[in-house]
Amino acid sequence: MRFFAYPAILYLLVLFYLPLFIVILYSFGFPNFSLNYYFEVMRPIYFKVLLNSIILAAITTVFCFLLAYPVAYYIALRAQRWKNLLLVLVILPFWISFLLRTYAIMSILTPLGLMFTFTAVVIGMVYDYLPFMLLPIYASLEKITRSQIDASYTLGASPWKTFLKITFPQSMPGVVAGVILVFIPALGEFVVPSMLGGVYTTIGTITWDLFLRYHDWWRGSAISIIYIAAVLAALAIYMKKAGRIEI
Amino acid sequence: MAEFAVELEEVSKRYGNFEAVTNIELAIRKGEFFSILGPSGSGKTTILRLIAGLIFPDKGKIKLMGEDCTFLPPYKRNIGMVFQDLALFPHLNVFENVAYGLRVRKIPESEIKRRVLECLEIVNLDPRTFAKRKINQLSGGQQQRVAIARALAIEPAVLLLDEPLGSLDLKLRQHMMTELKRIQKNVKTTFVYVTHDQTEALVMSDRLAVINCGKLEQIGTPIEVYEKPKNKFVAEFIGEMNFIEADVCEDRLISEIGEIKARVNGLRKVVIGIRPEKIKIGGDTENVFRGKIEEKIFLGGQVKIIVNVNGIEIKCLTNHNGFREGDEIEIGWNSEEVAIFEA
Repeated sequence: MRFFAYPAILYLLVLFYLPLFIVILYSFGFPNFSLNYYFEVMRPIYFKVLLNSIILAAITTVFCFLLAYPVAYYIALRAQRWKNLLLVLVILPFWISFLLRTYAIMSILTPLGLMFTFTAVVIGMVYDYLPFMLLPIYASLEKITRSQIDASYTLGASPWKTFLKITFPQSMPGVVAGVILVFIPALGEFVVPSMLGGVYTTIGTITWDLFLRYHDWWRGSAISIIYIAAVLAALAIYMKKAGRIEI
Repeated sequence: MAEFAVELEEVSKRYGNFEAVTNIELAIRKGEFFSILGPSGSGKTTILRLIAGLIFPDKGKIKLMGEDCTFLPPYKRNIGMVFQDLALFPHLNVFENVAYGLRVRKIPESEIKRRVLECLEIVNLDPRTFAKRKINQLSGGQQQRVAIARALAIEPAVLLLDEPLGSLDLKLRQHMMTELKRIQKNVKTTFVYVTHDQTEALVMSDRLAVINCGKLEQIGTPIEVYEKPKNKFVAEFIGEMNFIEADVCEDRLISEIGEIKARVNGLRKVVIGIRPEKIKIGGDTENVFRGKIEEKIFLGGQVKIIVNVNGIEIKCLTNHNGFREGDEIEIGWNSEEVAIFEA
């Protein structure tokens, strides 16, 4: 049976680890090895870009959470027979290409005079990432039975206290998963910022420019590796904190 | 001090076009083990949820400890409830589940600890073994006990139990029945127990209410309800009973098995009910009928025989094991043993 795993392993090796290895080689100046490219991309201007990315990803994550939670709550615990229909409505936009959706957003933002602003980028990002927050939260809320909430009421807890002590803690695994699923890709996002934001540079847009506009594979690789390391570090810290939440 | 823990006055509740309960009149005494017995869909859980305040009635009044609380939300009622699916909180351990209602009430930590340990003792769970356990590390019976302890911890005026034994196997169910009765005697709280299982209701209750199609059929002690069922439904639902249709001709009853002696007032068509264990074999009774044994079922301590009397099957219970299928025997009963219902 092990045999069936080989194609997938091969696929990963050739299309993920090999390119990653090449990127690492280039970041060290391939074919003339040096650490110069790392020193170059450690300049303040790149830190400013990294900070831009973190701010954008954080704001996107927060807005996704604020918008997704009430909807997920409603679908999971209140919608009853409308549940499946509402879930389909959440997923439906994802049957359309990501680029097309972003162009659709442009056609709404242009008449509002919002194009090429930070607000436009945030609106576009939240729109594109919302379901990645909503679905895991929904999945964890869905496991809570109505009778648990009733039990909390009969034990003397008001609806608000019940939410804080019963519902929200049990949805934490979904919130943790949603934050990871939104924050990480949002951090590296380049399509939405470059299409809706104009000059708003993020780690994603700058990597894109270095590779494809200036064909500077070495600096592009170095900044990618720093980005990957930063994400892994952030993830490790986050998982360690989140792992303490009793699930 | 009011005499009753729970009073329902002409309470009705409908869901859309469906009349879940109609004009329920109920007064449950303090300290009583009271059961609400009925088939599934009869409205018994609706009554419980009305008492808990999880739903509100369309009509009528609900009083707890003599005070009107018809529209009081559940979290202001001080009632405990054990749910059918137990509804334990999976993200909290046993201790925190039981402590939940006390923490919500902002009771001091030392008092919470004392009370939780006490409640775990009451339900026979050793706190040293179980306090730190997670809910999914407990067996069905242990989860049951945690649910009861959690509801008792807040020292409720009334403890409501919604078919809590339904999910347990027979042995454990029988064990939990005696346990529940013991716990109730111990804490002296009013228990309102909803079930569709007549054995549970008969074994545990001080009094019980039989309900069908959202209407109250009879209230009484288990013995009253068993011995003097008010109508055919109660007679059929609790225990076993033979029914024989008969026409009234002056002071005689004419039925398919022959003439039956019984006291009837002002009815033209009746149904006679007789419990299998009240039927005597051997012809030493006021009414005697001849029949043939169709089937003999060995029940352990007793033998159930089904006798065909003129085409009507009559079930009898006896301690005597000497009969064989096909035997002709005489069966009968005394007039005071039968129940008479309007046809």
